Amino acid sequence: MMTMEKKDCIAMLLAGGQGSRLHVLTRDMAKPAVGFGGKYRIIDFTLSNCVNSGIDTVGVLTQYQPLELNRYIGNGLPWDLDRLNGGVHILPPYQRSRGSEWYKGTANAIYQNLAFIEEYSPDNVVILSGDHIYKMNYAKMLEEHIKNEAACTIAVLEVPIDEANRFGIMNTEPDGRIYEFEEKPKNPKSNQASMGVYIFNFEKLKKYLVEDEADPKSSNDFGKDIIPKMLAAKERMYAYPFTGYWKDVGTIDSLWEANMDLLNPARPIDLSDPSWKIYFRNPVKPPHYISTNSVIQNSLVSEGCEIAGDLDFSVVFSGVTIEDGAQVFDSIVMSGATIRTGAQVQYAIIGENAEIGAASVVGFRPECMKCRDNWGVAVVGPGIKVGSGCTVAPKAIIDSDMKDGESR
Amino acid sequence: MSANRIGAIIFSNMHEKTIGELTAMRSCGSVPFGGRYRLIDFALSNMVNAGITAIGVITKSNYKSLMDHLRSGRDWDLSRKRSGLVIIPPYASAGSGMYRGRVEAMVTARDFIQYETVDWFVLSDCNFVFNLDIEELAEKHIESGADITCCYQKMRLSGDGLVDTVTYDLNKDGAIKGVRLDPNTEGEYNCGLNTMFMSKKFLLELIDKTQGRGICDFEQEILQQKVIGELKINTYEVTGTALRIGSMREYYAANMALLQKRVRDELFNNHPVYTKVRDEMPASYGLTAEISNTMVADGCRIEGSVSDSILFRGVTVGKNAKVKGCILMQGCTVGENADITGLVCDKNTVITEGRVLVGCAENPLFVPKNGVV
Repeated sequence: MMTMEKKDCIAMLLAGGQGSRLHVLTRDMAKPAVGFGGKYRIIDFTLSNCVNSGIDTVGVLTQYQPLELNRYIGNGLPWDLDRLNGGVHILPPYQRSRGSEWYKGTANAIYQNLAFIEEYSPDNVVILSGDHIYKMNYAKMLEEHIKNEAACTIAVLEVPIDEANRFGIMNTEPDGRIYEFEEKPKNPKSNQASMGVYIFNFEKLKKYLVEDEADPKSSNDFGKDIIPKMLAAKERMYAYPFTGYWKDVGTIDSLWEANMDLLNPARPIDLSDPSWKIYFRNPVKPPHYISTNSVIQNSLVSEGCEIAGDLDFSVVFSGVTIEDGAQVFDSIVMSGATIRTGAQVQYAIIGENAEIGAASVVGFRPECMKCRDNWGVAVVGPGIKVGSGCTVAPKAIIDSDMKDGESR
Repeated sequence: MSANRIGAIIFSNMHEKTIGELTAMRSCGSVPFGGRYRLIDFALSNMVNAGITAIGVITKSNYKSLMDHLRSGRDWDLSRKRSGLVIIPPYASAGSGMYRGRVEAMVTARDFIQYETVDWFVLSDCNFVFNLDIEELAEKHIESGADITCCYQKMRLSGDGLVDTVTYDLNKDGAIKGVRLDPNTEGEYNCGLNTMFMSKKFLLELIDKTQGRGICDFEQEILQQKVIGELKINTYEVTGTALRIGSMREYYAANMALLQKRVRDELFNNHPVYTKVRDEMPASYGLTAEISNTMVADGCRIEGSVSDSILFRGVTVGKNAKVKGCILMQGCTVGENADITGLVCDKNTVITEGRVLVGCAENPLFVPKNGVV
């Protein structure tokens, strides 16, 4: 086997999840490939964090609907990850001489790629997931990890205590050493939630992954199996506190909210910082054009758009057409979508290349609803054609074309 | 015809004196245009879209900004093991100084031309913005059996103080029978687009025949005065949008032409125009933004009122500022309550709070790079 130059630290990015709670948006693509913030994909944040942190070798583990993600990542050029030694590698499950299997869990996915990691003989491995929006310097976390001589360091974020029961919670000594881990505890003892960002000493990681694989009762998951086993064995495990913006965009509501956070004048997450750029694959489009009658406020608009309608509190991806008299409020319009003349889109996510017919009404303002329980963000799936004069109710998820005048 | 058989030469410095303000610190090819491009992007993209992968860029002076822009050529997919983008730095033989015209410039590219394994060459300057189907041009050229095929477009020219303008008188079959330089009467002319096609063999002969004979002006000496003899020169008419950048006024008008849908469609639809990627966030519009008939690039932050303008990447327009009929290049800042009309602001210009500046389309007011007003 060709031996690669040794790397101090490499990253493994778990990108195989289906993201079923994003419904029609992930019907044909894995969650990390879903669009975010007008020109990014969710995975751009983790990939950019890696390169900005000085990590130049990233394995991306894919399983569910990988085509779009593979095409998007390509040779890694937009993230400077097209390297002679290292760079980005897509790692799908593969067949071996003694059989083949899908990735059974997060730990098994890494286990199946131990040979990939060993090629670089890293001292430490960062394990990441490709479905969070945040800017984080993993190099600082690695410094702490090395200083603590830790077997494993887990990034944690303080969450409101009444929401702590939705997370994996780390209970720590004052020096940050973890003595207990509780997955979604009913009565949380602390509010330090795991962000799904781990740094492992590679030798330790390998040992526990091999043992875990041999355990037929294990579910082969980092949170459920590896972390508890390491704690039980009294390994040195530390929490690394992260302060800053972090959002799991695993649901329609959280995806919508995270996009809206970009429009907040207080800018909880700044994407314009030249020292921590979020890189993306560029769509090769001219600047966007705003016509004479448009009213555009509180919005993000990307390249290649032709806008003749009105926008307020909206995020508009590249190559979108919004025709004369159309109104898009509090919504996300993904790449290549078309909003025809006189259509009204409110509190909605319009998927890539979808088309909203003339004078259609998609979504509704919550304050105009009689019963708020029925309110929610409306979603029109990628490539779906909604005819003229259609009505799409709040919370509706449209996954097939609608004929003119139809209501759903 | 396989594009692998065509190579290309771009003259990045020709015509700089016609837009002296913009080329004080840069070459003609690296003059910013259309919100996110440099003039050379259009010539390069025409070539890349035709599948050409061997492109030599001839430089002369002030080519640092061009090098920054092109780097390895990978934004045009031209960072290749075989051929790709080759920057040809100026070369001056002892005592003779810098090359003087197109013909002498080609001498510097002779090695590049000779060693590329192609049969044909397309040669292009950077002072016209247009889409060209080079494969069709190649077919027409080969069909006609001409020595050279020159691209032109019918254009109305004012005849008033024109410089650096080549027009052709044509036979019925489209061959050039006469060449007029800088015509001084108003009228419709077959205006040369400074783009031509010829065989590699002919190009090398041309270089060898002219070298050492003191010939430097291609248009005047070779086309007009036929110094090296009678040549069969055919033409190829470009009918879509072609924008001429021959003065500050034309530069302004060409940018503003992009505000017409027809022009945008012709230049950008079905024909990607590649440029250096800068990874800027989308443009953001604030609560007090008012915007009308404007082209806006990524990374802009707009809180004031903007109309009939072209905003390059990363322009900031403060609250209550008014921008009308302006071209603001990358990184310009317009302070709160400023009121500007008819300006061309080069990169990173700062218009301080409350300033009022007025230019007009016929004579736009130019603010140089890094200027503070």
